[in-house]
Amino acid sequence: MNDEILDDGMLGLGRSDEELSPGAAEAILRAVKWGKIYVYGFLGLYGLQLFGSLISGAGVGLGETLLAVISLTVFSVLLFGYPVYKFINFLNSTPKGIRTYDHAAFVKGIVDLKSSMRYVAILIFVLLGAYVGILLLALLVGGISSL
Amino acid sequence: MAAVNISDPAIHRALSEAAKWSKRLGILNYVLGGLTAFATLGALVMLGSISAAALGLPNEVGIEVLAPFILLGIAVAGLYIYIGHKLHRFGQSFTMASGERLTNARLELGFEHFGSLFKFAIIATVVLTILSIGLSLYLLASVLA
Repeated sequence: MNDEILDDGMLGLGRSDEELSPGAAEAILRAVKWGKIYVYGFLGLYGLQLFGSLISGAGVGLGETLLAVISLTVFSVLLFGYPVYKFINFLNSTPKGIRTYDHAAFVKGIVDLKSSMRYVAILIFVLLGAYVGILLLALLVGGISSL
Repeated sequence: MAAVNISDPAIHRALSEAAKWSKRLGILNYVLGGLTAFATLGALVMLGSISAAALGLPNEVGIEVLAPFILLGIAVAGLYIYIGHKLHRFGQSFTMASGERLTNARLELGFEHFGSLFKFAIIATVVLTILSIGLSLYLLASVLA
């Protein structure tokens, strides 16, 4: 810690806590490195899966398969495009800010990380809520029909 | 190394907000991990019984054949729980009392957790994929035998 005791006896921030320390910068860069491997790996595998679906379904009916793959892609982009875009912005902007001493780029990266995290959390809560709602509805319909 | 000013209120606000949602996501992951373990166990016991009944065998035989898949379910549940734990720790690292300022120590600790979350997720995904392929081959061999 870089805290120091101020004249009035309070615990204050050291001068070095005004600027990003090399240790913290290294930790952020390491997290970004693993984050990049994860996100780009995931996107690559997802693309491969879509391509595989297209190839395997082509024998059954190319038109239908193509429509299904396009629909799935559009649906995924609509649902997850925003947080993925924001997270990729974080992965690119934050290290750029650290390496080029660009404070604005660093702040933009952190704000994008916040947006991405908030969106994903809200989306998961909404999807789980909808799932629980459907289950309860099914139970209700089942209960009524058994009467 | 860097002339980034971490005392900027915009960074403080963004990280506090990220911490709030990260902690909620962490708790959600704990719940999902528990549910995954429970659901896998239930589904496999049911599937084992149905398969055994279809082949005219006692229930225990079907459950024994599918038992290794319970390991896979527990491993997936573990993945959820570990990710939840790391998300929660990331959130805790940036949970600051009012008036408290962001320090390098907090940033370092928080992003160490964030980095290890992705590192673990990548390694666990690769291991689980290999494990599931292996178990599928085992199941195929059991059925053929």
